[in-house]
Amino acid sequence: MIVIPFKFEFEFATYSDAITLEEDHTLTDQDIEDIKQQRLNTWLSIIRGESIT
Amino acid sequence: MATLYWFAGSGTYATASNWATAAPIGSFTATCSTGSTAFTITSGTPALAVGMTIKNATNTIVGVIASGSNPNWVLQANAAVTATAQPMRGATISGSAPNSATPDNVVFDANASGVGYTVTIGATFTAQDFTVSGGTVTFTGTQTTNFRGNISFAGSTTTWSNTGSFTIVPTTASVTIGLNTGGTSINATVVFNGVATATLRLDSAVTLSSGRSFTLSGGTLSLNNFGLSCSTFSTSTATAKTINFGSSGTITVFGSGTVFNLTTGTGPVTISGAGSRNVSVTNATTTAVTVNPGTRTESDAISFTFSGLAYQLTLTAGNYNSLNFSGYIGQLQNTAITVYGDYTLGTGGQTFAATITNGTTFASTNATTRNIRSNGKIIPFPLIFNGVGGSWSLFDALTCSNIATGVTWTNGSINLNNNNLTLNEFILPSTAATFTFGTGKVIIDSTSGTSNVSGGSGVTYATATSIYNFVGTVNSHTIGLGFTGTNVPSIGLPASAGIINLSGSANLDTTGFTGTLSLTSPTLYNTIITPSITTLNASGTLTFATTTASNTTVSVSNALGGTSTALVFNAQSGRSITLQSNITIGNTRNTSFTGAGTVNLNGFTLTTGTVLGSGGSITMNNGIIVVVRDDVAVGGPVWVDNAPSKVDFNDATGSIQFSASSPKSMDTNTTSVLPTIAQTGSGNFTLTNTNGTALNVTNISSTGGAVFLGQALTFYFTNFTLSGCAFSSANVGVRSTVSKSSGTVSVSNLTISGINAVGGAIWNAFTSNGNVNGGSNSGWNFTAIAGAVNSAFFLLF
Repeated sequence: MIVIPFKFEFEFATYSDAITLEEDHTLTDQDIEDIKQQRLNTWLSIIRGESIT
Repeated sequence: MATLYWFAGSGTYATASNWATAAPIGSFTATCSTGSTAFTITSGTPALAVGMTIKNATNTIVGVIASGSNPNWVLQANAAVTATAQPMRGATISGSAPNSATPDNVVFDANASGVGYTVTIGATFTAQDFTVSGGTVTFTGTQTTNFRGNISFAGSTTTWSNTGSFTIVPTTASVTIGLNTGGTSINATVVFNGVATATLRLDSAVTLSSGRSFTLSGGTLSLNNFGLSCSTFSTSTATAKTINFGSSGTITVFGSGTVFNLTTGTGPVTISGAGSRNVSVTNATTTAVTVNPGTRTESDAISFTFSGLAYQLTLTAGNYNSLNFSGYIGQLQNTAITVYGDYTLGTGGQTFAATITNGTTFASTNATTRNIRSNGKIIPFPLIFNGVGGSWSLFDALTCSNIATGVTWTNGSINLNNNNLTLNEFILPSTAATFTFGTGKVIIDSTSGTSNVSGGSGVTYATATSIYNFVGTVNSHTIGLGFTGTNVPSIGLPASAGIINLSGSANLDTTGFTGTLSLTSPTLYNTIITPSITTLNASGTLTFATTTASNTTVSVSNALGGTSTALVFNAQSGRSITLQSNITIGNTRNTSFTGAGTVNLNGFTLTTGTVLGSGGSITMNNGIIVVVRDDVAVGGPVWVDNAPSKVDFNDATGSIQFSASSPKSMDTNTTSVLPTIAQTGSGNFTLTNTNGTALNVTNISSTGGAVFLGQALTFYFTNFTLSGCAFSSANVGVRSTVSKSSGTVSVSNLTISGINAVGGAIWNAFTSNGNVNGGSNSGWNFTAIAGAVNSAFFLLF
């Protein structure tokens, strides 16, 4: 397994997460960045009390 | 335990045979019992339909959906195979675990065709390891799920909508359970209720949905440097529990009410982690928020960051690490808190409750400097700095409300970091501490009525210029600073009226001040007391001093009145106090010369009642010392050295004048040359040295009062022009000796008694010049003899 930790730091809070992938995953770097951003957006929506669709 | 694969969605979870023991092969597979089995699905993709086939783990068709409609279906096992089989994962799992005593590992795999499926949690169940290994899987329902082993949604697209408690309940001692949600937010209350030695380790961020709480009931929650986000976080049960933040783990709480509470369980709570142990509090509503970190110490205190809407915030009284309100815009309630880390106030509309009875204490004992950043907020509550070995630095200007609030500094060191600290009251430490100003200042504001600055005897000022500026009109300042070391704090007064009550030690400049300055035994270094002040009172002892490192100057344009003022000059060895004006103290008051340094009159006049010489020296520089008191009032000499200590003279210019109309005397054992001694009063004046050694005198004069010399003493004169008075030994029966090395002394109108005149000089006291031989003299020429060069010479023949 490949674990890719990542972190987004804000003045008010920090989002620390990791993406776990199979060794033979086929995701591109952009795919991985998209996953990071998607997770961050979800987290931001939750802590801001926004509805998640 | 076995590892079972749920890939068919058939039957009940409670029946082990409904699970496969191997990973699925090919497309849709299933295991199920023979005959009809009811199952339920509330959603799923693709939609189920009667006629769908079901395969087992070896890809053998084992049944078909015989009947039913969403969400209730009937599976007919071992039915005929249709040619149009479709993958299917929709299922109900319910009941207790297949083996509740030793739960199985369960795996939800990816649908072979890539379509998602839904698993409805129909009843409470328990699993060991719980893995969603791939695909798009939605868990729904309302039932409790219990996990005793690792939980991983990594690699899948999991939706956890089952609202039953998501409970992690390891029962094995020292076991560590990993939780990797793979980006899935959990729409359920999450409970970690392990035995005390069990650990829940986050292997990814863990985020709970809105309104969902995390409860730590037992064991160690290891954030493993990831973020845990939940609506509220609390503890429960009597089991010991630990939160290990690691070096950078964080907890974010985003609900309202008591969002973080470590006191709701009776068991002990341990906080660990090498980092600052951060909890972020944000609230998208205006509902009040309370945090309660429980009983913490400096080593396990938790840091909090606050943000969100304008909610009222209460920090339960207790200990905190860093507090960061930079993103907070609500009203902070006033509680008694202790802060060990940094302290940052809001950049926006943060306000404070009206009640200000409780102070905030900064108590770090850590060598790392803690920063205080007010962001322009005026602090309405008292601040206390009390941490042995701690240090604090102002990130920006810090202003305390001028309404009876201020700073009490007991321990630790403070660095203004070039910023101003404005307050109403300031109590400084008597213990060793360092105060660094840079270009910053302490501004004492008495606008509300009064101000008070006191203490500081243990304070070392790191910079040469450390200024306390007092501001506020028509009000009263009480100042009593102390310090240690060689940098002296400076006091600047308001350019207005008011009352200044000054004690302690400082540089003083009253320029611009037009009120009343009352001095109570202060020690002043560089001093400017300007005539602008309307009233100058002084009581106790006024000391002008130097440090060991710097000289000082003194300018006092007003007479130092008062009822019990004494003046002390205390210059350190090699240092000097230089007058920049005349100084006059009360005519019954004493001036003492102490220390080993120099007082430079610099041509000015010091007027004093009496003088005590205990050390150091005086540079006259044509200055004058006027001694106005008499021996009778004093009960002894008006000038006396504190033998064997004494005050010496660095030059013989200027004069020392004794002006009393009653008897007065100068008893000195100085080894230097006395400047001209002037008897300016009508009472007798005696120059003596009870220490018994000779004195060197520049000259002596009188305006009419008698001049006596100590009996049996020798006085070496540089010049001798005394005239117009009685001049005798203090005990006529025991001669005093005057000596001059050369030249001719010609006195007039002297009545000389008991004086032996010696040295290379000719001592002429011709009666023709009005002199009178009072008897018991020798060495004087009272009668003019032509060619006489030395009366003593002629006595030999």
